[in-house]
Amino acid sequence: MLTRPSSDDLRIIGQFTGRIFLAFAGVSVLPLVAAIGVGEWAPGGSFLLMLGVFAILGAALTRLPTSRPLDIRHGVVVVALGWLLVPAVAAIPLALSGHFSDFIDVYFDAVSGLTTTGLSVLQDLDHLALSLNLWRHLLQFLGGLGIVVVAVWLSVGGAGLALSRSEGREDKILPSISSTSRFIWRVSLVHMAVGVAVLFGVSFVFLGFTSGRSLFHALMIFFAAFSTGGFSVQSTSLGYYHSPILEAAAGGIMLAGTMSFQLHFALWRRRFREAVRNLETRSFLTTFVTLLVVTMVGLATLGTYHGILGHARQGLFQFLSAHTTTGFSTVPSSELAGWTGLAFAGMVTAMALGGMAASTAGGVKALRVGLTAKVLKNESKRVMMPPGSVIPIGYFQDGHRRMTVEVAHAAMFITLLYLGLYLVGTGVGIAYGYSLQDALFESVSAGGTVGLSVGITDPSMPVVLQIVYMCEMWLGRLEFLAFFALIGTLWSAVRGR
Amino acid sequence: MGGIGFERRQITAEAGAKPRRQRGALPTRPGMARKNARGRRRLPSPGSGALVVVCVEFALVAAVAVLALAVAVVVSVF
Repeated sequence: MLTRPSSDDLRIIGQFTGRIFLAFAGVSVLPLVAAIGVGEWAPGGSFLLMLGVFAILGAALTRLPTSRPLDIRHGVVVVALGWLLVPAVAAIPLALSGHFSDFIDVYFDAVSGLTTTGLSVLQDLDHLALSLNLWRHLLQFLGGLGIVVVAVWLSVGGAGLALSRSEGREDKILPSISSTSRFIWRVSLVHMAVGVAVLFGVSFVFLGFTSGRSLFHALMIFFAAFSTGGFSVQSTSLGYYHSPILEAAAGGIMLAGTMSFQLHFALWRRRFREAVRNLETRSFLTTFVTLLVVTMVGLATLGTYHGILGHARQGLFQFLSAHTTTGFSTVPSSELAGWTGLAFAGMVTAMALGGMAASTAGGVKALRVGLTAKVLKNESKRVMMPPGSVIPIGYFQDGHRRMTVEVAHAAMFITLLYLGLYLVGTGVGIAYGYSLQDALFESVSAGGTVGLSVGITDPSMPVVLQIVYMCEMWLGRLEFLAFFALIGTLWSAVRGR
Repeated sequence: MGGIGFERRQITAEAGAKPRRQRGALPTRPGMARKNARGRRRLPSPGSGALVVVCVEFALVAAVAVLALAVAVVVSVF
């Protein structure tokens, strides 16, 4: 029997959603200061309006009286609502910019930013105001770290564990969620210092940009690369720079973003053996090397790139962008649409599998791929070996762990849900007359929060398809649990007793 | 019957939702709780460990670049 949520439950959900709003009100100060600093008064006014809406909603909701602490049931609903409502308010400055034709387009861009996807329907990106570009990239950075990490850092405190689990981050790296949150921030800030310095140096020395322009581009590329988001300041993405050195620097940051924070912790503590033994590391390296070879061989058979260096450079960068779920590209979408056969298979599989769990990346995640492979291997052994044989059913992931039935079921169930999600988006794309190959590529790109496009995503795309892609991005980022909890809460509110 | 287990159950049942400190589960020496909390808060400092992580990442990029180049060379030969 379903239990109808009490008014106290609703107040708890409202209160913590309000805290997330307050956290974002605090973050909104950054683009506002940037707009005032560079004299962009119209965007500055829209940032002030957004800050006000975040602050008023946050203040009103946090005043709701509650008598119980937040638990995991409330947490999942708060996270689901947060990822739906924050983009709606965060879209205000974009809506007032005049670069979008309607609010669906604006909301699409904000959802794509916050879920670190990178698909965009923005018109005339090359002439977007600096502060608005900063806000789009900042949204990706904050979305990559997780709304909850932002909220824990700013206000939520002890209830963060329930929220963090709801967001698909299962493991704490350190004993408490606040120390884990601080560690994630520390890793991000260290990478920001190194990454921005390297990108600034490349832009200033090799590309001949002025110091101010170099700093702005370095910061934007870092935000989009580390969050595996893929937004860009230019409509031609990283292809604008024509620089293999910049692509290598961005590649390093993309790889850092797709690595789990547990792996960062192990490397930070110089536990190299543990880092290499982890099932997730092995699984990621295996799929990366295998699919890279498949993509490169596929590209060679197509003969798209004639020189060896051009073939290696374009193939590797697009592939790295796909497997890390970043979405940067150095070739136009029309050229990417020409990657058929094995190259297409390698790219789509890489996008679907994605990066590591507890990272900023999307997709099925390497840990689930590894666990699924382990289950299949164990089952094969069980069939092949004599009845009654004892088969070891453990795996190594930050220590020896038992492969319980629950773990195996959860990994395979979520993997199947991702496959279903990709197929639904593909079906809708085909229904609108796109080819199977294009529809599959774009759907996997949206569901895996990648952001590479073969040209379907543009301002003239059908609204229904746009909504389907938004749902894919949202579900792909939250890994389904929060969605089921939200649906369950709504259903029990209607049918419960 | 295990005495300790029985006592624990009894304490849990009687204490109900009381904080652990009031149930006597935490060390009672003055300052111990604060000391433990300080231990939990300790994070690895961004010293040479952070540089190791960055070096590993760029080494990986270099390694995959070499791999991509090798595949491109092999494929072009055949």
